[in-house]
Amino acid sequence: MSKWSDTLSETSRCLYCDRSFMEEVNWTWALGLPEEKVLCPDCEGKLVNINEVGCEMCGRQVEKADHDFVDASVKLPATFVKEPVTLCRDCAKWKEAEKGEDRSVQQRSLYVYNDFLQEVMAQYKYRGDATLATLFSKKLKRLTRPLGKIDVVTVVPLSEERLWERGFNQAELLAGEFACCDVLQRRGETAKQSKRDRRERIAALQGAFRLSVEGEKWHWAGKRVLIIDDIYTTGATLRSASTVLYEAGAEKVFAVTVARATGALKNNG
Amino acid sequence: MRFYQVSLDDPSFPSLYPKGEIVTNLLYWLIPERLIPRDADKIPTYPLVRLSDIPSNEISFPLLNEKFQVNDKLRNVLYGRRLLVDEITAHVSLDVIHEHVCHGVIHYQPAITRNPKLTCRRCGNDDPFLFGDISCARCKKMCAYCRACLMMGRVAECSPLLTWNEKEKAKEKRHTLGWKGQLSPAQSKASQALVNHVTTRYKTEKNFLIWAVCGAGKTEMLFAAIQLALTKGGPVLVATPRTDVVLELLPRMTEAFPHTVVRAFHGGVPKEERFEQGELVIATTHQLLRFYRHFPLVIIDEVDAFPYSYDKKLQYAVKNARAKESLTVYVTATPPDNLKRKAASGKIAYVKVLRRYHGHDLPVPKQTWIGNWKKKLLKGNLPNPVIEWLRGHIANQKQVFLFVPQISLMEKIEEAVRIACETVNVETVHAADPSRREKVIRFREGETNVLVTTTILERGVTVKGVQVGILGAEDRIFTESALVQISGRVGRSPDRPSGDVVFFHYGKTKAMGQAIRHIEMMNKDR
Ligand SMILES: [Zn+2]
Ligand SMILES: [Zn+2]
Ligand SMILES: [Zn+2]
Ligand SMILES: [Zn+2]
Repeated sequence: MSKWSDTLSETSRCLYCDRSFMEEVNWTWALGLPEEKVLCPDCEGKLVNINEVGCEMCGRQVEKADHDFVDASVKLPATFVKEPVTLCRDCAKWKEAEKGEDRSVQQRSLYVYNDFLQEVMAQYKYRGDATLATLFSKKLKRLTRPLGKIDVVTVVPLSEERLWERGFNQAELLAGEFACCDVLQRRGETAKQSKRDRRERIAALQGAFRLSVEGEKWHWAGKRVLIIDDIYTTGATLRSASTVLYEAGAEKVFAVTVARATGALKNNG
Repeated sequence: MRFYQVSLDDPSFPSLYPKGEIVTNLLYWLIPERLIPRDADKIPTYPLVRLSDIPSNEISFPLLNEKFQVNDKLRNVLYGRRLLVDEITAHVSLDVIHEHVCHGVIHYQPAITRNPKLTCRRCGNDDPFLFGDISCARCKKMCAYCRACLMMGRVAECSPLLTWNEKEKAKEKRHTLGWKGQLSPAQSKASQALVNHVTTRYKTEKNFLIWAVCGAGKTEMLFAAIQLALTKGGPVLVATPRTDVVLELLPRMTEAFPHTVVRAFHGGVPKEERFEQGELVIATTHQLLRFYRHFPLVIIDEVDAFPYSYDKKLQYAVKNARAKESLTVYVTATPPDNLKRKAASGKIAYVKVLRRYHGHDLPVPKQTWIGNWKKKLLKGNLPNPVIEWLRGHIANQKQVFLFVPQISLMEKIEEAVRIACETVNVETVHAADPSRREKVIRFREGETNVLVTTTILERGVTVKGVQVGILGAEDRIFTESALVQISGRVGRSPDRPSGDVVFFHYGKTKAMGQAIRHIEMMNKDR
């Protein structure tokens, strides 16, 4: 006779490594809150959630004590806030440069962009394993819950050439749980980002986007906008995209990404 | 991608297909969507279709135009292969490809078909879990893609696979054999049997099995047959599951065939060399997926290196890579059951080479019980029998391979070895280790005393006078075949024929017993 606990577990296949694993059916199932596990415990364990941030604006994690961007003693919950108060040095500088005009982008990420997540994202983006978007799309949706009403959800667009190469826009699939609109459009090609240093990247992205034909149809005044992207590295891409939206009249722009690079990591996004 | 189905008598796009009468059963021209810019003067009003949406009996191509001057770069890339458009456009542009299609030199096939079930034509995958389905930017609809062969470039439902339709006449060329060594009587017998099979003209697809113990000198037995096949004018393929073995075979084959173009293909080959033409090709079995009806002689080394589940994939890849009239040779020390059965019932011709080329016995593994070694390891300790065994060999200046079942345990084991045996050089290496090659070289040159490893080094890698221990031999990963192969690492050089193999275990398994009986049987059988 089989143990009754056997009937409460079933074998699943890990979407990332394809190994079979036993899935314990827990009581969320009985409560009508099914959450299907798509990653095996090994892979799941290698993802590091961001639970605490040091900056309420860009969502930078609390890092080592000697880090010069964040006060290491500050440990704030990682959820979106109504009014970001504690800012890192970068965000404080940006705020100063804005001269009272609000161009801020409150940003949050699901995970630390560690070695494992780099592999997963490479498999997703560069090898084109588009199905992996389902690992994150529901979680991204949940991350935006504290934001309340959002009027427009959009993604950072790809150039036509890049879109053809990949066959899909990785950010658009991540936004699969939202009603996503293509309100932005790329102005022209920018060279491969990862090959540039931070300053060059920021310069190159100035004016990289404009409103698309669809975007021009909207009345932007008072709109709360959410941008979804895959990886947050310097924030330059999001800043450039949000500038277009603010200039069109948007009230607030927020952003969520799957992965947040730490200062220690080589720029890769 | 999509194609315009342009009617044969439509004169609006004359630059996109050849003029003159077409003697063929062609129904329409297929013009890649991307060849007509969106701001072009005339945009066809014909349907835009994916190749996979056209009924297979409607897909036809112009007859081969023998007078057409083919592009040499394109031929070099595609001849003997079956590739994705993206793999080719890195070398020549889409309009050049299209021109070759119009002259019947290149044919398209859909890469994914749905009848009778969703299947990737490149790798044979038909497991629904290993397909994705996305809204595709190339064909503007839901489009399946194969997750099983993603590492070779993404195959989507709208991707065409391209083949080269022109047959090259076999060239007469002399291929000399640079190897001047002497075959043992057992090796000669196998070599001659293989040569006889290559001499017979193969009218269909034929198979042959060489069942040779580890250390029997398999590569040397193949030389005569390879030379003969090359001289007959066809390219020869030697395929093996592991990159390590490809890297080890390349210099040996290059030396043995000094006047032959020898090429190696594996995952680490740089992009610009990935599509070169070779007369003698050494490739990992993954790379077979890029060849198409090309090789009259295919040699598969170490067929059993992968679990049975892999067999179907391998068979699919071999079937596509081999020429219609060809001989496939399986070389292995531990044939999988299905091959053994076929050999026994006469369905496949075979020859057995059960003596090692220096005539010595394979060492029979000892079994040593070591209790719950994992628990001990958590406290940073190795079981005493393992420590004593290691110390003994290190004192005698012997090198040791220590096989372990899991990558995650390697670091702890390395640390424990270092503590147990002072002044010892220990290293760990596993399949995905980026510095794997350097580590193996260091071990080969004697700089490392103990190499802790997962099963990656079980085949093909030979080090003189090495001793082998398997820590946790009870693990499921150590099948009969794996254990026999691992034991075969020992005493491979004629000047140091004896060695030690120990299965350190926490409970004997069936596989351990089978492996020992297997080796004893091979030692008896003369
Ligand atoms: Zn997994
Ligand atoms: Zn900040
Ligand atoms: Zn496939
Ligand atoms: Zn498609």
